[in-house]
Amino acid sequence: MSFRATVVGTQNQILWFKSLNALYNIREQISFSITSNDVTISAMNDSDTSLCQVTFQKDFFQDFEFKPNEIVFGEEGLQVITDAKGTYHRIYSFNVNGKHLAIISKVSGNDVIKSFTLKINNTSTCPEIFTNRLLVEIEMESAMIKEYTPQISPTKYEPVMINLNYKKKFLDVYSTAPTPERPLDSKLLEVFRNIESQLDRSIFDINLVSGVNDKNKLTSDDEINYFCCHQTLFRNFLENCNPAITDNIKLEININRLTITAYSKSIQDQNKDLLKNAISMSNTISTSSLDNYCLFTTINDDIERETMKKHPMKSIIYYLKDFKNFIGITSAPKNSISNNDNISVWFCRPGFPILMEMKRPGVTFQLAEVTISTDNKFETPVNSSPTKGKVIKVSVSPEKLDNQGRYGKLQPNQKPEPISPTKELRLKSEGIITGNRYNSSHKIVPRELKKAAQKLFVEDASQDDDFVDVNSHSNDKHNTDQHKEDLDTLNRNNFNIDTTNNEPIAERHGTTIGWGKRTNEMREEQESPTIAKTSNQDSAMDKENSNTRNETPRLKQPKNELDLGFGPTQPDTPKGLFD
Amino acid sequence: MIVETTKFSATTIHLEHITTALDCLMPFGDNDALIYVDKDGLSFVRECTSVIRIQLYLSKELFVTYLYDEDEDEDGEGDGDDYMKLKVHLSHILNSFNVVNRNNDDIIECTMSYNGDGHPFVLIFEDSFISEKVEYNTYSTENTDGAALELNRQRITFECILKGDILYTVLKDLKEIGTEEYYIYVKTSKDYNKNIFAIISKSSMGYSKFKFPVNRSIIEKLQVFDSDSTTILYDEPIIGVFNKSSFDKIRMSTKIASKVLLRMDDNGLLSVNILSQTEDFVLDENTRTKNSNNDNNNNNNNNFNKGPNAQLPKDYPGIVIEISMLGSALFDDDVHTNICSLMDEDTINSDRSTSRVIDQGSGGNDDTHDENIPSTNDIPLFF
Repeated sequence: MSFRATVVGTQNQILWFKSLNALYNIREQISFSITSNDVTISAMNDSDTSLCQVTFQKDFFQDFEFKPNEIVFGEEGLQVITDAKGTYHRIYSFNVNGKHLAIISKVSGNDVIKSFTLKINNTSTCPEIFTNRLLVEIEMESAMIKEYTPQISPTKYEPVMINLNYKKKFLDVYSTAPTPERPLDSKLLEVFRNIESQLDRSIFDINLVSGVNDKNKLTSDDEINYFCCHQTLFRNFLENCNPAITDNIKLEININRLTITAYSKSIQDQNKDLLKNAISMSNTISTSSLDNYCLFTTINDDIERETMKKHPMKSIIYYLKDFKNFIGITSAPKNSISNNDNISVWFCRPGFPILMEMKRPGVTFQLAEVTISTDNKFETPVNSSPTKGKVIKVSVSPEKLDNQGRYGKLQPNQKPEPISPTKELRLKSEGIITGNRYNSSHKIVPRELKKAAQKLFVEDASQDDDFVDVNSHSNDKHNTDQHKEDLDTLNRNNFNIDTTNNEPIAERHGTTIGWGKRTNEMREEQESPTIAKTSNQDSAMDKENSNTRNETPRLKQPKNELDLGFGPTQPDTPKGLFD
Repeated sequence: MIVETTKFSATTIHLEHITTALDCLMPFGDNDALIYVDKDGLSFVRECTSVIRIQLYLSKELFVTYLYDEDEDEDGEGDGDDYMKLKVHLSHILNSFNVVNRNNDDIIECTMSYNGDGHPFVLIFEDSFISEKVEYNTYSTENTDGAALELNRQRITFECILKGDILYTVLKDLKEIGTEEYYIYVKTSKDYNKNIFAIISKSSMGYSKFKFPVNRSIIEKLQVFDSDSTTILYDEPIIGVFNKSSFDKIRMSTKIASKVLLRMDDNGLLSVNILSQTEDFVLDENTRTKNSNNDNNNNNNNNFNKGPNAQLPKDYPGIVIEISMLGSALFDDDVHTNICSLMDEDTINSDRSTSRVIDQGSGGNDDTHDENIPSTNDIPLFF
């Protein structure tokens, strides 16, 4: 046998079948790629807008066997990859008709599948009818043996690097080693460590581009956001969503809350007659329910006053259908909720793919979906655009339960780089300011304005403090630095008491902050303070990000997306994952 | 309600059972069916383009009353061969049954009657309130020559008795993968555990193989003969080839089967005998209310259980179906080698082949199995 792997155990089989089905729902053709350590199955839909990928580690299978050296037939699927360490890895990849696999995997009658074995025999001794066939042998509890031989077409594997690129970028942006001055949540550190080792182990890491030029000089191009929460948060919401009714899903997150909105736009014909009603449903969750988050925010100088009241909102929009499909893979009976069923989400600016990842023992599920670049008129209120923003801020989810030092040091700001007069502006950050937020117990920072607005969503006053602090720094950084450090020590002391006493789960948050300046040109361009003052400045910067994105296409991501909004009634054109 | 002058009339309350039975005939085209009526029961015959033929038998025990007026040729009662033959549109009858069955609250009594050539076939449905009479045109019948589809019992190549539900599951799977051609592969060995009974499918996803468990509870009997029906052969594979349109037709019938007897003669004609023992498939008896006993069991109480559910009569042998189909002749060498390598591969890989344990009792077991299935034999399986 060139390859053999057996899936035993009900749980594993269910995961396997559900994965196949989910992939088949995305595209009829499912791609396999086998290495000596894992089996990856993936499917990208026809329009190249979403890519689902499931990786089964070797341990997931019983009797895992992979002998690429013996493969004689179908050798066009053989690849040798050299990883960054110079080690050779052999990969065998092929496509299978997902419909066949889906039919095969369907359990019929009362019988139970005992073992599900995949084999490929492309050795020189293989009988002709088995060459380039995936031999599926299913043994039932009733001792019935079914064997199927769907055809495979060996092809070269073209890895889509979004996954690794995002993770690398994520590391580059957020994971500076914790210092006594700037500690990170231990869970988050673990995330970093996991990703690091994952990148380390990856055999494709040789071409990785994180896009981050200088960790200490973040630009708006370096934007990446991350959060991690329990799957049920999404699942409960998606249960009520019908992809046929609500096409899109929008995630909005700031350091206080996460809002999930499923919606579809209304459609009107030429005479403005309504063809389809708009509908939207949303769910708002406090970020204290999230495991971790890391937000990358640019703040417009001009609207800084407004942002004092409201935290900037990161927002991202993508298609609901594939996401629901994806979440469904790991859905389990409701009573058996385990703590490890987390979903991690990485996203950049609107228009860049969003990456979601779930894990089970030995299995990793990933979905990368192209997001819709927001249209100012219809998606978000026009407030400001990121390129005009003056401040780049990195918010890291607060520490949970560990009470270490809270404040980082502010980095000296740098001057903004000149920006071209065209619309495509690039903002260079001036540096990172790392800081931690204050404890809820501290009402040290006097701030009367903010509270009212934010209490609506988050009861935890501490979060308000956090943000305000950042803003206040932007004007007088060095002073506030000093101030922060003072506060920090205070916080540390108080933190222990508060968390332990009040909330046993006590999930405290810390923020890391950086900011930059923007040029006069940008400022002029943007202005219109009236609009800016309106309401949601949060998501405002998205639009402009989408504009600037054009300059430097990275990560195989879609280009030319700006100004694609056709009109109020037409959906934006989805972009290929790697046009 | 029974008209005394009719030559045949029969009354039953087991409409669902009859519907289930008639459903088995439906895959064989939607045209006419021949109904043979004799003193023992009704048999329905349909034939499709002279390559497949189904015969379904409903024993008279199913009916509360069963009157068949034997031919008045004053011959006495010795002549048991007398029968009537009529041809009707089966789908029309089935529709009537379905319509009537919709009313589940009440028990319905159905009387069929037929008065010979030129008369309509009459169904009368009666519940507590309504009596409904339906007449169906009958058609003159030319003799259907079933001779070509007669199993040559002197030249049988293999014989296999297996459980019906597992065959049904396999046929369902085979249909789902879009099977174009079916191959039956039989190979026996002196070691019982090395017997192979498999159905192989050729479909858009290539060859698929369904190997039945070698287990006496599932395969009761498996024998390969040297095409003389007596000499038992070992290690000689037998392959039957059938196309989709024929083989899939037996799926509906196997759904209700408890046991299936497969026999093939050296012409490639496969005969499938299906016995549905009534306790083996679930009729929806829950809907029968207690009213049933009060109203309808007056006529012939002896045949019925007194329980709250009107069950089928105890001495009713169940639906008996015989299907015979001609195998395809197109059997090129490629297919043959492919199938052989498909099955060889199995023996190469399986550990069973290495442990060659001769089961001393294997020969004897086959004999005992003949004895174990008297129920198959003492009912009129074959006509």
